[in-house]
Amino acid sequence: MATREAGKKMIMLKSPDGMEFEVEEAVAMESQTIRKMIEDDCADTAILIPNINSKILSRVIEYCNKHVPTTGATGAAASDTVAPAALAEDLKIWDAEFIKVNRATRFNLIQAASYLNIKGLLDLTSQTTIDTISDNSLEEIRSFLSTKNDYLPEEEQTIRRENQWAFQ
Amino acid sequence: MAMSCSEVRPRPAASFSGDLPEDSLYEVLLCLPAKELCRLRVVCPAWRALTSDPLFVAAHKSRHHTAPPLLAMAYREYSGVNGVEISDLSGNVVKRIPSAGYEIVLVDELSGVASGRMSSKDDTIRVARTRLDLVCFNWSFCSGDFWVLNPATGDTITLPRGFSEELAHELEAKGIKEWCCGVKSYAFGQVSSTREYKALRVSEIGDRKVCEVITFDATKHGSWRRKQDPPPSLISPCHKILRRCVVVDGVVYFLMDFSSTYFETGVMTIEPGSVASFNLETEEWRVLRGPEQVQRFVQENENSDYLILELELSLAELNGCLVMVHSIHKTSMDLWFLTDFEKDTWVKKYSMPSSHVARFGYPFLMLDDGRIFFTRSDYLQCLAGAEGFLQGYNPRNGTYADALKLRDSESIGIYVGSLLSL
Repeated sequence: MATREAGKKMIMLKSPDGMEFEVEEAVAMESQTIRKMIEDDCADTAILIPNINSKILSRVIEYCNKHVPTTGATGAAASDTVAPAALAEDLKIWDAEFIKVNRATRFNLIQAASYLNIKGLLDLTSQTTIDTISDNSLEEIRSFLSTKNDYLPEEEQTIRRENQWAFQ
Repeated sequence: MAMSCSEVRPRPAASFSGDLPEDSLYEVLLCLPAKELCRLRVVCPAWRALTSDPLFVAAHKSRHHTAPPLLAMAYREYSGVNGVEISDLSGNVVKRIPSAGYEIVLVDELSGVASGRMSSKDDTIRVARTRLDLVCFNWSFCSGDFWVLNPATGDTITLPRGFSEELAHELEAKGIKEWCCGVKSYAFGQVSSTREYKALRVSEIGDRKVCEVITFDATKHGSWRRKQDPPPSLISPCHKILRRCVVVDGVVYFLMDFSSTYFETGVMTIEPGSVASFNLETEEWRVLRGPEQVQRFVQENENSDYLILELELSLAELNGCLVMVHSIHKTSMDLWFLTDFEKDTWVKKYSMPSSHVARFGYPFLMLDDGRIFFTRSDYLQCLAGAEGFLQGYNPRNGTYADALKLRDSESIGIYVGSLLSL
């Protein structure tokens, strides 16, 4: 296992396009999926993250770096000087900037967050999509997600009737 | 190294044609409330398949476990068709499940000629006050049978009518006809550890009460089993119309009748507020003491009519807790929560001014945000089957929401199954 500083374990993450990212174990463990692998002792070499390209993986690591709880000697010093409320406010602003990405990237981030099981990132990335789905008509949702409506007209009528109450 | 720890997820047969990758869509849909998902089923067949998949439904249920439950109530059409409908707390009907009903031909015992018939067309369904993913009901006139409905599948099963073998033999030996024995109370619940459903039946044979239990299984018909006789004074004369029996977490509770024995004997043998409990898992009875203050209140007011004091007490299930409701006329409604079953510890968590109480009647449901829903009848409680209301009340600021009109405030249950499986 690589070690950069005393007391800080490093983990190697590999994307399918061959890029390698060395991250602190604590940062990688923001992902519940990776945490489980580390705890199960199946992470002594590099961990291959399938389906997530280097561009998306680097953004995910960026997010985890920002959100990893600051503990230990340096962490205690940081929380002494900065009030938790201010810290939370800072994170919120940072998140808002972070999520200013195009639609395709956002969808890929949702997928990555879901796969790696990072709850905060999942909530952040899916919220816009959830809002869009909740606030729009079915036709608008279909066009937003380029979903093809492959119901026959009479089929659609039946399904609509069955769920009529949900439109009220 | 490949990832091996990912969870199993439903893969609908139809492929998703949209931009959003399947996993992401899954996550997004999982976050949406159930009602919204029902609307989205119209988007395309793949969405419908995904939101109906049992694995998705289960994941959604655990994600949204604090979502308000649904109501199960009886409905009746002009044609005479009776059934059970599932609706949300605003009264939007999600599903109606018509009942097959019944038809009984009455035969004259002497001549053997049919003398009349009774059918469900002239009867109404009475939904039991349960909090399960099944709905239990009986009929107002033909009240001896107990029906169990699974709203998700629409399947209904009638619990066997006859007595357990042991009791049937005993009746035969003593020459007592079965029709002389009346069912006094039914309760239906689920054992938390085994997830088994069981029904408890208390019947009256002559001057004594007997208790039987049946394990409910949708695939095979079980039979009633005789259990230890219940404690005395379990059933008050007005048991059927007062909220004196409730099931909480696999335990059936009966508010014991302290006033009747006092009238008969002149001695107070049952402490006021005492509760008899029957544990559906161990199938044993136990008697719990009521809150001390409730006992003291009754003792201090012994000049008043005991029967009136008796009527001021009722039981409720709120937030998974047994609650003793003490409604003090023109003063307050106190809600006593049983916080420790072993030590009989009761805590008064709410005391509401009776101006609100008169308005709301009986507590029925408490939501995670602290709101309490009350049912109340339009008429005196003595008139069973009266129309009524369900109304939400916020104890934090004393405000109440719009009332939902009920056909019968005594015939309402809570359905905790997922909306998505209906």
